[in-house]
Amino acid sequence: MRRLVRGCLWLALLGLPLASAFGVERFPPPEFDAGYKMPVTTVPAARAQWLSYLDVAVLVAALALTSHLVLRKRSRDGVLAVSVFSLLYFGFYQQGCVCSIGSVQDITLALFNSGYVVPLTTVAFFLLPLVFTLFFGRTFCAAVCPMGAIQDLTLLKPVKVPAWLEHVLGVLPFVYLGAGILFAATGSAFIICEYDPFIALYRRTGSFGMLALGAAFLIAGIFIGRPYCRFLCPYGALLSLVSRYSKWGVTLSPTDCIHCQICDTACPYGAIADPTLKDPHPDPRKRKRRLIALAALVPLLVVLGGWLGGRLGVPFSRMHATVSLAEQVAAEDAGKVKELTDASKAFRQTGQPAEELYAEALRVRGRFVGGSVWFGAFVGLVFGVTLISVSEPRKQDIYDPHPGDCVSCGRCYVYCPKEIVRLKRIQSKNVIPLTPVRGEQKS
Amino acid sequence: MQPATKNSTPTAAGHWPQAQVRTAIIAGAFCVIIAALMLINQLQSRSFDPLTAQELKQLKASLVQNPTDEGLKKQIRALDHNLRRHHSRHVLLAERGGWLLIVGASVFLFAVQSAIYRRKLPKTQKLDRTHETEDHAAATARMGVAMLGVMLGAAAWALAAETTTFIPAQTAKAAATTEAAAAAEPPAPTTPFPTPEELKQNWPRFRGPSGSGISAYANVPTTWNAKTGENILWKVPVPIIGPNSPVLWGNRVFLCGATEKKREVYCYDTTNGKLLWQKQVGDIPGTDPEAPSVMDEGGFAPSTVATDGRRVYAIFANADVAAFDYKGNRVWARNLGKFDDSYGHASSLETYRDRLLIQVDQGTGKDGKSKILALETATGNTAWESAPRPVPGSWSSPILINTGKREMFIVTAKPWVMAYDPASGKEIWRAEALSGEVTPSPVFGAGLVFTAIEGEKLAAIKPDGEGDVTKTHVVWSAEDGLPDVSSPLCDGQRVYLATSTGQITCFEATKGKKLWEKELDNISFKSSPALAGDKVYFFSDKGSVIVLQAGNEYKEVARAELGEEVLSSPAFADGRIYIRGKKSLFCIGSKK
Repeated sequence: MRRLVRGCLWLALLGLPLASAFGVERFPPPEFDAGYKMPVTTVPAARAQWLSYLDVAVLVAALALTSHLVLRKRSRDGVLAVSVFSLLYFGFYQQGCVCSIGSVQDITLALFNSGYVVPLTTVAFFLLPLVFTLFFGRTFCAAVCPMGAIQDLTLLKPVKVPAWLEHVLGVLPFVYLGAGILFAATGSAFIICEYDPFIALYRRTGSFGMLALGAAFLIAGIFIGRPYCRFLCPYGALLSLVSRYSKWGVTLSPTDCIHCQICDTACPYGAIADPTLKDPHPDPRKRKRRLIALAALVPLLVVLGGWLGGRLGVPFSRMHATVSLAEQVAAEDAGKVKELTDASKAFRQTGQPAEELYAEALRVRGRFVGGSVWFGAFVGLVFGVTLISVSEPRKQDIYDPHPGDCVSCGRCYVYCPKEIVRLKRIQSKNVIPLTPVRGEQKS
Repeated sequence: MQPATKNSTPTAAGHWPQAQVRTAIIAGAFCVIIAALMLINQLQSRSFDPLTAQELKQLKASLVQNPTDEGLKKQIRALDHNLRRHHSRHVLLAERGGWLLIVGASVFLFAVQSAIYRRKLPKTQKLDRTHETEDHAAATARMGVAMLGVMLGAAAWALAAETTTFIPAQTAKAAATTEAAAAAEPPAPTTPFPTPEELKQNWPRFRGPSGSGISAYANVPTTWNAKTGENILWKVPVPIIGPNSPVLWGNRVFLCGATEKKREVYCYDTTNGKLLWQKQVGDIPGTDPEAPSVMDEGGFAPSTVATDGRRVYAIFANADVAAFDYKGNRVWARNLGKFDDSYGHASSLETYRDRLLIQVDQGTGKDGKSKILALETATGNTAWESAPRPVPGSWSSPILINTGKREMFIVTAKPWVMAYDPASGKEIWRAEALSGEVTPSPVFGAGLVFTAIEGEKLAAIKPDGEGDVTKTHVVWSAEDGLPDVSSPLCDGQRVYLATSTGQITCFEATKGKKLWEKELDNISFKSSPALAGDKVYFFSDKGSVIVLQAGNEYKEVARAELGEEVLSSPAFADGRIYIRGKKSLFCIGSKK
């Protein structure tokens, strides 16, 4: 029976994104004049401003409620309910936009391009989760983010990812964040939005690639808890950094942990940090030397990354429309390609000399080379710091959620025996004691 | 839903999970069926894709061979309609299927999640954690991170090595040179005003030097094509739509634009059309906050700017006058007092030595409001002011001419053509030759001043008189082909007129004999004609240009399309024509 269920699940999840694959397509109007009058083109009215404010209000409410449920009520059921709501509201109703993850790019572009105006709603979506994280940990990831919510709800049979692999893949969100910032800053693309795996599902339409990506993440997410959140989400990378310094984060029972490891087993996200071994390291000098070597390696990695990044300026710059067009026009002029693209045809019709386009493209490329050096250096730094962090884990005496990795889902609460006892104790305190009726007393 | 930590009753434990599992099976089966149907629908829809249907493509190809085959057309229409109908149906089915699948998957997920809700965890294994195992795990993690780093580095290296660029490398230097050249400011003039030679080499005002509409350069194209880009060197948008014309000096093109609320001057680089600066005139003491009444066509900036190579000067319908240096800094600005002009002030500016000459005609002609103003170009202070002119509002632009004996400032308004001494503002002569709402500007050629206005006449006036010369110096006049907006052009031997009704008329300049006239269908001229070499350029309102051979017969040399409406008049430079369309500024020239 379980196999059957599993099989059905696979098929359903495979089919789910297909639904949107067959979504609306558009094709040109008839080429013949057959007396048909083309309807006047209408543009849908812009979304009312107050709805944007409502979105922000809902975001604040959801963040506050989740923080309350996670830290005060310690209610996994409550978190689950908010997840469902977020999936419906921020996912299917809002169609995944505006989202905090993509807002990183809006903020970046606005910082680098004074002509780009960011709506206040977007600023709020960028800042509010960070502010809440600073105080309450990653409660945004817990239940407010629709991308986290859908992965949380489709997680059925979690498989533990080996710790070493967790560390390795944990680098990727920072690399993705750097790339997202680079392409946004240069005005080339919002890659984080373009490759959002679940947006096609929320909108029930999208390219095959998008749908396949979404399907892949959902299928992987059946077994691997929140694969996008943990190993790709650039905003999660930011939140992970901020939550390390959060004032109140998720903890289990710091005073009476019995080292049963149940929480570690229950956490599908590998976010429970093991206690540090109490006995001293047999070779502290070796450990110290390694640490010094790794610290010395960091600047080298930064320089190496910067150098390699600089070399990526040329290929990366092709993401920019001007450079891409210039390359196409140049390739056509050099006889390297025979097929003209719509863009190159349109350019040639403007009468603008190709030299001017090339000059502009080279200016853009120059900016890319500079940005890529910084990007590479950042990636080098991330690798260096990761190497140190895996060698020198955080010191702690108990099994407790890692403040950076824990997404505050609350699963561990319902399994921790000490937490269960504590909750029961609180519950019993709140129960009004029954007083026997007089008749019963007499008998 | 039953928490595993609680002791459930046998009934609940027995029935609930079973019900959830059954629900999951049914929902899963439902999803599978829907997904299968959708897949079939998708496969079927491919046969009905109007974009890729082979049969339709073949039929269309056949139609190219037999364009008059009505039967074939009907067949294509029927097939096209059928394909679209099927395609729409498939899209609709896909949409509905999508919803069903989402509902089915939701039920399925709910059922499965309920079944596994708080399931019992496997027993934890007591890990035998030692420093050795921890070190080993850390080493593995380091190795993994390092491997990932190497892989990413290798991928980056390979990507960089594999990428080839076709953009010519020398363009980099050229770009830098071009940019440097564009950014380079023209050498600072050492004199307070330009020489006549400098003025001739440039296009310092409406219709060029002396407002003649004659180019110093003959090497300009006669054909171009905005659609293919042929001979269009660049085309750039102009921030505010307006009818004023481009003015050139060195490697700069100047324009202006205005709305009810703001007034701006634009400076473009002739090399690439880059907008070097866009400056607002800003607040000027005395400016009426209420916008003046203007005509739609003219807008709030109908007057063309003027430049002397030191500064660029602009006047707007609200009587703001401003001067900017070539870096875009406002040098001075003043308001001339609200114009009494229901159509909006439209006369363009002229410079004379270190004076900016402004025709301020307004009111009724009896109220003494009309005058000529000369401002100091460096400060904007009034240098002189003419005696009140006995004329009402006028929309023509004055010209500065040199008869060989003296310089004169020719100003036209109903009913007078008047000549002033540009140095002092004293009137020299006047001739009664105009009526109505005077919009065409005068022109000087063949030793005569020509004025024309619809409803009155084309008059040729000898400019060597004094006082009222109406009866003594009007050499000839004619009444055919009179323009209402467009100004006359004199090539030294002939005078050309173009009208809003599409008529071009040519007169012999000294005698006034009509040489020819031509009615052009669906053509209207408001732009003034221009001469480059022996070619006369007429830009029509719709953006067509008709190039004629200057001569005693109508001979059309070429026609070209700009692709935009044109109300302004062209400016000419070495090998280039600059023309402002409704939305864009065009630079036309040979790309070779």
